[in-house]
Amino acid sequence: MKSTILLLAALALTGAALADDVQYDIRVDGITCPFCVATSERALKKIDGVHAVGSNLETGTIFVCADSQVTFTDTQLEQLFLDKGFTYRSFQKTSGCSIAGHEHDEDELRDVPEDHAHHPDTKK
Amino acid sequence: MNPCPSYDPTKFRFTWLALCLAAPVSWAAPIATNTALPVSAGEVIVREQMIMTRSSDTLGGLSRQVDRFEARTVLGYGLTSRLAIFGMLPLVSVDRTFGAASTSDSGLGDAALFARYEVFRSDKPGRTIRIAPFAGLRVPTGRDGRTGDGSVDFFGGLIATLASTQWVLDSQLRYDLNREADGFERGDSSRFETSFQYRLSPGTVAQDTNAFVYGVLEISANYYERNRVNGVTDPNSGGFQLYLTPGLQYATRRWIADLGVKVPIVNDLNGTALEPDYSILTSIRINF
Repeated sequence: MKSTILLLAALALTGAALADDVQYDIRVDGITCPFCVATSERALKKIDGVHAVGSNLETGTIFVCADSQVTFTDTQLEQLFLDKGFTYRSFQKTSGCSIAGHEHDEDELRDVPEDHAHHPDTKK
Repeated sequence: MNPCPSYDPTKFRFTWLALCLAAPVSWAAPIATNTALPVSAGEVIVREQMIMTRSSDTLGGLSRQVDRFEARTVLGYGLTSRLAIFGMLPLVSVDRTFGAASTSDSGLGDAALFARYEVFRSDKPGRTIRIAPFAGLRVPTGRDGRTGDGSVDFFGGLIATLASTQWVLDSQLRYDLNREADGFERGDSSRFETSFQYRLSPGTVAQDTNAFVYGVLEISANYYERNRVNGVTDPNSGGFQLYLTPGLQYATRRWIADLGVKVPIVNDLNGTALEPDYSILTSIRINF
């Protein structure tokens, strides 16, 4: 009985943590290999509140899973990727995470306000 | 004391130096060619490269052979996202035989320092084009005439890189301006090198792709002017060489390992200059 309560409590805490997470899908041009993307991923991981970072080289997208308090700006990301030798284009912010064991909460995704999405066409 | 008194040591000397030049300070994806891909600002990359070269022939009925082993430590540092500096320090071991005589040397070779500045960049999703000139110097940290050439030499050139997630093409033009030391002046050299790397695995790139396996093919055309010894041109030096280097490379997020065999397909050196048979190149580079 005691273990069941503990398990339920742990699940509730995990659910609360996921609900607080956000994911940034950052479009970066010029990254062509795993070795190339590593320094950018490490720089993002060093930011307080960032839990996990992944990437899709084919689409030129870096995924960042972070606390909801973490806020990126175009200027900040432009400078970060400039230092790493690549070209920042845009980002899109969604609730929940789909990388590194985190999963999107589909309801939360639908609830993301429109002004949180920075589409590629809106920049550069 | 020269343990091989019956031959002109400058011929061997040319060989060591030519081979040293034939495998330049290299970086990032290619095996024996340079790349214009960036070193991030504030980041350090370390490369440990090992090169074994055998040169042999028969001269006047006597066999000649030079085995050179070189372990190079290369450090790269990104001063800015466009400007990177590099330092290369080699440890060298050379075994020479001429007929029944033999001699060996080992120790520090000549170090090289150079800077590379990116002047052009065009980035697209999963693709990039970079052009970067570079310039540097070689300093005589090796033993004159044994593991080094004693002179301060200069080199410079231009690198262009076209890269996608499927393939990478690096090309380099390079000129080496060599100076005299202790009566010996190595001939200047001009080189064109190009490297094509094709991703063999994985077939498609996904979010969890952490490593690439590349097949690599490099070609290097080298022209050497004749050396001068005490002001006199050495007829048994200089010439033209064309190398082909097939190889494999494994690139992860943190490190890259590669292996290649450099084979001369044209050896047109002047006179009796000793010509290389092959080189085996292997390296690992780590991104800190």
